[in-house]
Amino acid sequence: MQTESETTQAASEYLTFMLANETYGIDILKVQEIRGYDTVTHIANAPEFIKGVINLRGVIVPIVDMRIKFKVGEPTYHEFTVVIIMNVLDRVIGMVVDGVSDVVALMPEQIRPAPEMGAALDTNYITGLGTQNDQMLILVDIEKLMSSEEMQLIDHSR
Amino acid sequence: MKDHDQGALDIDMGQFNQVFFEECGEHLAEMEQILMSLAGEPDDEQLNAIFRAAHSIKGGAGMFGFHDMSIVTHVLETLLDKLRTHEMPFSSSMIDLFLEAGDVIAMQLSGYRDGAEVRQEAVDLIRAKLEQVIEGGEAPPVAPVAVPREMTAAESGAAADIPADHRFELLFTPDPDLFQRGVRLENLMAELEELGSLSVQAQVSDPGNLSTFDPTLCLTTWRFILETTAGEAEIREIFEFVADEGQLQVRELPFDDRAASPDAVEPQPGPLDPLKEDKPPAPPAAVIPTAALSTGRRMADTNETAPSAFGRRAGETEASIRVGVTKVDQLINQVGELVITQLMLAQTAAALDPVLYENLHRSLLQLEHNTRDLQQSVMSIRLVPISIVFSRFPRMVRELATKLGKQVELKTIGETTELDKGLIEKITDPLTHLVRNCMDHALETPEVRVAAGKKPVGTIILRAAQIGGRIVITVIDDGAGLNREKILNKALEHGIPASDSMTDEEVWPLIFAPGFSTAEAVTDISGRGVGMDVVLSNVQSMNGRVTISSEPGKGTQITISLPLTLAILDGLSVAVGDDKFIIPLNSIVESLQPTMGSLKTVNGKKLVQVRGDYIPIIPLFELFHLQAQVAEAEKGVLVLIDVEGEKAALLVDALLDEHQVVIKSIETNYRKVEGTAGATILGDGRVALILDVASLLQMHKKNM
Repeated sequence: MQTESETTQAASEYLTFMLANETYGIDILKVQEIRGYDTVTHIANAPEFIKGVINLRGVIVPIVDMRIKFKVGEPTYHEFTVVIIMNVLDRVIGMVVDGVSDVVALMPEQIRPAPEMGAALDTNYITGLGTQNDQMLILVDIEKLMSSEEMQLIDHSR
Repeated sequence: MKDHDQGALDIDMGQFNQVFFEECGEHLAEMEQILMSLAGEPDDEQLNAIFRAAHSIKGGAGMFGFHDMSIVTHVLETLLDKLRTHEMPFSSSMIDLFLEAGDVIAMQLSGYRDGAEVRQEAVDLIRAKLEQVIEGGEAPPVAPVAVPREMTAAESGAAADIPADHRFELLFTPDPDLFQRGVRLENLMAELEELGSLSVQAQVSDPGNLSTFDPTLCLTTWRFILETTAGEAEIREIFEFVADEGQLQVRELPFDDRAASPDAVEPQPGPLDPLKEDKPPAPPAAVIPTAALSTGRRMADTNETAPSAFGRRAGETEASIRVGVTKVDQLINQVGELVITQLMLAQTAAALDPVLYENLHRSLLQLEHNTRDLQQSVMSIRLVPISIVFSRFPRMVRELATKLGKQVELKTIGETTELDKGLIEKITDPLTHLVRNCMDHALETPEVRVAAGKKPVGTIILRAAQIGGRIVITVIDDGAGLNREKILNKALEHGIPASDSMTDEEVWPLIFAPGFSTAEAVTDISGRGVGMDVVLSNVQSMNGRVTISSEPGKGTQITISLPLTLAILDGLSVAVGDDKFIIPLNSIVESLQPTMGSLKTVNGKKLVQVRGDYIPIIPLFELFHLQAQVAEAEKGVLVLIDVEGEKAALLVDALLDEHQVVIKSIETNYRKVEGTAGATILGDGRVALILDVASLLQMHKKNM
């Protein structure tokens, strides 16, 4: 993997994470950090999948639980629960997933368009399917997803 | 601005331009401040300071390609340079000219910065005026000149342009140790000049032996020729503390009307004094222009503590660094984090044996002190003295007073009081409005004042002070006071609920209602009925309060109380179930544990009776859909809140603590949360939402 990314410039790197036994990948450049799940402060009258906000070094960051949002996996919170802190649309947003697995580099030819299918995520947000060591990655346009109306993270009325 | 930038350079140039705009604004403000502080003749340092400001603006304008700005500043600079080097004497009409030039530059500046309209004819006019002065013409009359500074001259009965009717020759032979006693002749001359036009001759009475000559001795006989309307007694009064019996001879000369008229001067442009048109033709070599005298004043300058001199020197030595606000905010955030980390450490360490871990505890205590100090220092970076706001008022008052035909004296107290830069920006407009209101409505014309047995000169006092954790700014006038009847009538006219039985304290706030104005005539200064409500809403947006006290015939006092910074709020933390909320202290009236008897129900909605009033209860857990420990009002605590006169009682589980919290925006990374005004980070590192009581009330009404 290491050698592949070094030899080719066209490769893009993805952070892969698990959600209901499926592996997803998001652009590594959007990821700020990965941290454990901390106690959140609930936000009044927010949808269930928005767990609340945390204090990330003085910045108030909302936390979304993708497992609740897409009704997959068990929304349990323990010491191994991870939150991916992302920088999307000039905002900092945290996303709870089942687990973070790896960073992979994919060449354009390793990425295939996604057919219509019943993934947990709407096909609209899927940019393609990647293959790496016989494993399939669902590549997600995280910016598009997080800014979508259904995530209710951004005030669309303004 | 864009015209001057090119393509890819846009962003970079924009940044530099911004710096220039900021600096230019500061230089202009400094110039104006010095000009306004001039009581008479400016000293060298003041002239130098004005020159430097003009020079810096010119340099910057040239460098950034704002050529029309550099043209005006160049002419201004040339004139200032002549004054500075005493090629040309100073005249008081120049102050107005300089102020006007400053305005024109400011106009050009805002033209570049904000795309505001630039009136080219004004630019050309001021340039022509300045050039005319440089070429030795008269200072042309500019904006009407009057009060408050000129008042002294007017009171003493002889402003320079009132035709004089006496001509005195004064011969003053002082003691040789005059300078050593700290007497400054230029002050004396300035006082004489206020009486009329003055020319001075120095006659060395006893040259003595040059080898033993002591330059600190005054061996001169001064001959003053004064044309004035004042009498001999007034002149002698000026010399009262300087001249001993017999040292001053006063002789009235035959008054030559022709010699004193400006026309007589015109044909002989004396190289030394082409500006003072009202001076008599003088023997060129012997006359010392009063401006030139100040060069030699160091000899006896013992009065180093004069406020202006002190201020200038302090300003020069105090170096500063220009830093972006975001950097400062980042620093404040990081220190806030440090404080929380320190608290967490302290909590962890508290469980350890104090004897076994004595060193650790001692170090942690030290850490606590250090973090507190650090936090305070960092917070103080954002603080700026309120003199930045106050300094704009002398000029405004001066101009308004002229316009309104009123005599007004402005006093400022506590200019060094510091507050947050964000607050400074927001408080400027409300204060300006209050001062305008004072000038327009509160203060009477001199005739009315005299008829009421008051001094003809009205007084406005601006006072700032830090009281506890708040900054209190007071605007005091000694005008007519608020008219209770008028306010009540006006309120009823506008459909604002009011009655005769209201106390004064209840009547005064009515003037803050939108559309309210009791001014009989709408002027261009104030009275359109927009204003006081804006004052109130501006102040409230800063978590501030406004109170009024007024006494008919004596005056009015309006007090604005603000938190120290925009970023910090005094709050009460309350618990609802597992959650903590912060209620801003300034909206809380009281908190109480209701008795069964005081709780009533109307249509299933709960009310609480407090001293006769029925107040609706808003259960927070219901509004926010939370699991509360107490659902019954009688088991919980009610926090009484007041939103612009409307009261409500918030039902919470328990009151926790009172603290100052740092306000953080939720909207930075999330959307607006109804019912909240932001969030804060508590001592344990957790986030708590700050309640916005006004929007809570709205939510409650919607749910009903």
